[in-house]
Amino acid sequence: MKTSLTLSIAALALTGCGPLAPYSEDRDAAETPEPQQLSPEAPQAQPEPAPQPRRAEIDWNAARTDFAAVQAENPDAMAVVASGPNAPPVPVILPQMAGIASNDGSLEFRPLGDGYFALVRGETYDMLINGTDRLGPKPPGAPTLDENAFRFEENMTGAQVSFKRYGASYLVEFACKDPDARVTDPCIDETEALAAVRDMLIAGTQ
Amino acid sequence: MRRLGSILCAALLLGLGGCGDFVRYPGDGRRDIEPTPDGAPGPPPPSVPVDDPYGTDDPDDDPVTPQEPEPEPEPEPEPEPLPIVFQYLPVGDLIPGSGTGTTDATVYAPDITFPIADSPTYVQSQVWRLGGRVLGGDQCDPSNFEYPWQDNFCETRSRTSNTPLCPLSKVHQGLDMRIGTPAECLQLRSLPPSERTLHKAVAVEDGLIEYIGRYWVRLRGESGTLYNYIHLNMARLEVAELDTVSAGDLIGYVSNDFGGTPTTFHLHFEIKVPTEEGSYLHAPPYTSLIEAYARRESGRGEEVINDVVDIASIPVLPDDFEIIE
Repeated sequence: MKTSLTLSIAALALTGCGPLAPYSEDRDAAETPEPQQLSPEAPQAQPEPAPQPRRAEIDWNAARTDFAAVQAENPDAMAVVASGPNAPPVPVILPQMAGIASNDGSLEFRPLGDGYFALVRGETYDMLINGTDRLGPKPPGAPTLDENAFRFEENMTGAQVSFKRYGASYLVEFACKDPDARVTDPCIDETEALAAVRDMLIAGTQ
Repeated sequence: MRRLGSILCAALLLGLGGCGDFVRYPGDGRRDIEPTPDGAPGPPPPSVPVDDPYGTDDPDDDPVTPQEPEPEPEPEPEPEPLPIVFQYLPVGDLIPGSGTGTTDATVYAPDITFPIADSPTYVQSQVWRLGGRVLGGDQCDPSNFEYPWQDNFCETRSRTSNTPLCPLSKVHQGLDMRIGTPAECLQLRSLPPSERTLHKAVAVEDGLIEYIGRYWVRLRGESGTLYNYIHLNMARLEVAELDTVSAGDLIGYVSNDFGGTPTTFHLHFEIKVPTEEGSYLHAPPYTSLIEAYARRESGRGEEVINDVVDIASIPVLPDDFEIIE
């Protein structure tokens, strides 16, 4: 199993993939923007069409460099997913294989026209991973997220971490599974969520 | 002498008469036309009789009359404006005391299908209206089933749910909408949870059903936008994980499923968009839904101003008051 996995990874090296770049200067994802005062005299906003999204320019050289580094240091931890004839247009980032039981359906993967979707099932939470090369307009007033920063948010279904890597956008969501848990008691906190995302690796595709 | 002159005149006339065989005109019917010698100027004469040798029937020979200017084309009549089918309050105009709304009116999900198939829908707070946690009362009260719509993205919440598109932290990251009529609300309440199938929730665009959670369904549209449908009847979903759906396909039915937390009958709808900003963001769905509802109803919405603000009705909440919907 490991041999074939390694061979697959080697064969796929040119398709471009690698470990996540070292993270630096992680911004506090929970930081809160300064409150804005709404003027009652301000003109009311009318629906405005959003500019067409553009497709990101992917830094495949950086992805290949990362892929080669992980392949050299920890190849058994790297996941390889079957993408068929349609390789995703963005580098695939997944949890390490050590955390995934192989061939038991705990990992679902779908290459998509603009990126990919992966679902990793767990006991406390499931991980939903989306990557895309679509970049919509930057919302007015929204701060720009640095390349190596993460944004953590709690939400009605658990929590999420979003980030930008290789020019693409990624979203990792932690969907809490306890059917009786209250929404105010998320099954994962910021520290654990960020650690889980930092442990993710660039994956091979075949 | 006079006799001699007469003879000369007669000879001349005879001579001219003899020349008569060579005086021809176009179309005279004679067929024994000598071929035009080489080098003759002009076009060769006709070889067959022509119907109108002098061009008397040629319309080009008519006296030139001045051209009259072409009349200006009639301007296209202005299309009849679509009928007003609902009213809505301005973007970010939340119920006073419920939070600080966004001023971002961008339509982040253009051209989507409205998420409710065919039932009347009222975008409004589920916390600060009758039946909600703040005011109490009956969620089926008829006053909850009236226009105008009111934005509730960025409403205050107790959990640490944020988005850069709201002015404050701890906010409502989606939009709540009540569905149907007061009578249907009462009917839903009388039905066992698994049989609550009055109001259809449908896919807003072509895409993939990514996930089915405890009380929510995720659709990833082909545009790359993510949509969350929360509080559906999870016992009666019409889709399964990793199904491919088309816009308008039935996903399930609006109910009040919320894990171990009670809530009202409503749909909580979220949009997450990847942006130039660098990551996925919870985006305000209000304007996208205004446009989608107008399309569904073959009409248009009318923005109205809420000029009735009853300050005295805004409750003062204790610090530990929990708002979760």
